[in-house]
Amino acid sequence: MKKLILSILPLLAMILLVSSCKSDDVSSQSIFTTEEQPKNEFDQWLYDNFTKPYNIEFRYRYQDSETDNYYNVVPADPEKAKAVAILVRELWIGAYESVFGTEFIKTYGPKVYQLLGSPEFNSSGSIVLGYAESGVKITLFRVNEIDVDNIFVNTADAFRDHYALPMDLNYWYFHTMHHEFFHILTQTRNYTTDFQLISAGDYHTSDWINVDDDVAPLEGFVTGYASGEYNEDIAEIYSTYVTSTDEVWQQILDAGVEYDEDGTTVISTEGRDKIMQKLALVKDYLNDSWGVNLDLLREEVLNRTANVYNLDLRTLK
Amino acid sequence: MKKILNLLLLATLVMTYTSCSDEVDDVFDKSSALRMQEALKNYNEVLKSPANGWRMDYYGATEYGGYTMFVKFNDDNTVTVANEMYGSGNRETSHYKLEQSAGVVLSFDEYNTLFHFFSDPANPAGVGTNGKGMEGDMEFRIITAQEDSVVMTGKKHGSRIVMTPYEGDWDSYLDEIALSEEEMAFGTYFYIVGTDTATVTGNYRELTFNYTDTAGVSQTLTAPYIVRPNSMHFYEPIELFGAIVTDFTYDSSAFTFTANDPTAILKGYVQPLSEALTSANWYICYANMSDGMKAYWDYAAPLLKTVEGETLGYAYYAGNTALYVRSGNYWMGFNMSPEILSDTQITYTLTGYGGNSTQQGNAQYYWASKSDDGTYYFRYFIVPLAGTFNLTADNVRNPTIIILTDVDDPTHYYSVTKQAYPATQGM
Repeated sequence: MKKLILSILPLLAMILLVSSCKSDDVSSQSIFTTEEQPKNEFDQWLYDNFTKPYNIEFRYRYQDSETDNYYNVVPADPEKAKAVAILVRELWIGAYESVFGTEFIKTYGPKVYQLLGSPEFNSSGSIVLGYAESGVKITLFRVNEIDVDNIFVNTADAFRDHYALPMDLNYWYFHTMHHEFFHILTQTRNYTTDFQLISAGDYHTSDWINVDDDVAPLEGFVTGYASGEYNEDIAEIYSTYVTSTDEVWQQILDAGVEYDEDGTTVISTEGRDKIMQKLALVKDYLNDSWGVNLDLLREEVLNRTANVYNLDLRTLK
Repeated sequence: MKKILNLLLLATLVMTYTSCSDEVDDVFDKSSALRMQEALKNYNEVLKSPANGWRMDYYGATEYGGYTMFVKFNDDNTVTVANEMYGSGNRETSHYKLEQSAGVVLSFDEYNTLFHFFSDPANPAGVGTNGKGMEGDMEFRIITAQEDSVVMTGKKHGSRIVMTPYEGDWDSYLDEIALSEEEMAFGTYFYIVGTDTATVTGNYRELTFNYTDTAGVSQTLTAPYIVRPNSMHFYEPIELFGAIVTDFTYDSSAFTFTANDPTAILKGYVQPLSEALTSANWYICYANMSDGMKAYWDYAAPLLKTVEGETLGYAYYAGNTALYVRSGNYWMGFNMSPEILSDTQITYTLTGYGGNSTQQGNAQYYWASKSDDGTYYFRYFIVPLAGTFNLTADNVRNPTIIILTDVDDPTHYYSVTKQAYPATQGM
């Protein structure tokens, strides 16, 4: 009996082996569509100016999977999207490239820009400023509201109403982009924990939304948003500083000084002092960790901003 | 024992053999990816096939009803759009794409002023709240796509969109439905099947039927529709009082709509002229009077100038409350009581002073104002307006001028206008 089983088992094994090894060929057909989509002039320009040199995808058409399904939005007008593309290249990429270098943008820069024509409205009627998901994807809203022949990049007033028209591209686009980018920097190379101590105990973790920009400096914050927590604080110091002219920065510092009721005698300069301490740490951080002089970068950004009104935003070059 | 072992062996053999036998045939002969690609290509061909494009029955949130757009898909991945909201003669071309997203999705992915009117979260015409607008989609799941019709549903909000090829001229169609919409609009309608009646009102392009059901309970039924030439076509068939209605066709001579179901009709309600005259402000002026009437005013006006140093300002009937007249800087009121004799006949009787106490006081003052020769000249402005009149209008459905003609003397008449003119206009 045992013998019989023993003699049959190998036979079975053989049959199993042979028959189980019958297999389908792997299909040579890829499941990914490879059909080339026709490129228009703008597509080609984006490929030459964003994708190829910097590994960035600039989506000016609506892509459902790149947007939040909760909101009703409309796509961007291509003519206005062109202006935004030119501005982003000039004001943001150009500035960083000249200070940090091309490789740096490829490595740490955002990978996807998604443009949308309208804002996203919250149920309260407020609108979403923009998204920058971990700095990887930047979503820019309200593109259709831009007047291409009459753009506005605010460099004159730190406390201008953000909802006033014309739309301030510095606040709505570039400030946010600098801010998110700084998160990438600090997530890659950490900054000194001394920073957390400067305003320790003063952060408005849950009610920062109630801190107005023009009173935030009294507490040592450059914007209301900065008062939320120290990571946002340092990113706001950075983004506000690089987008502010000396006058605007001084305006913020002045707002950090507390006067008595007559408005003549200084009671406290604590807010201003804290902002200056924080700025010094940001400068050190960029210098020590990235070998970059913050003031050089700022000069580059401001020079390019000043030149923005001379740009031809209708012609792709 | 041995038997069992043998049986086991046999069973094992059978199992081994069958389990390794040929695999089940594929349900599809091509991979899903390949089939999807073919579907995309095929649908794109269908979209591009009508040489003159498609007529699109477009619905956002159904409470706003349906709107007609024309879309023509071009070879270079662009689509040319006309939208009835922007009227005839307007076109805009933008990019479109077909993509896979749990089926085939048609996406209007570049801004097109005409097309995205319905999906803009801040509607350009201010419809709906910010964030919602008309809740129209700009991406659609294709349900079926054939050369004679394409049926899709909005990806986000789910309304059904139907496209049919259109051979004719887009602009004349858009003009035609604009006219039809105007003609078919009534403040109130009555829906009648046999002896059952529902009161119907319209808002945007949705009819609301108010009726009492067999249990005596008040009910409402809402029915979004789209305007077709001389007809309304419902988003879904409505079933009420045993009739099933998909379309109402308008007969302008009777202000009545006939349904596809011959038992049901819809009647537009036209306000009788006598009611229209006594429920709104209507202005009286010299230019709109018969010569006989003018003669009274011609006599009174110079005396008013001499005695009071004034001329008349506005003079108007305020519904059925009073006749208001302004002289110089003073308003006065007279009770001109209307008695409605029929839809087109009315009697005005002067019964006293009207309006508030100041206006009554002023009326009393002018009523008593005398010229040098002792004539109560001011009464010549007012008294001829009273009497019994036949009513006619420039447009019975929506009058802007109503002519009051003396029943006994057809040459004696005056007109009142919806638009305000000073009483001395034409003097």
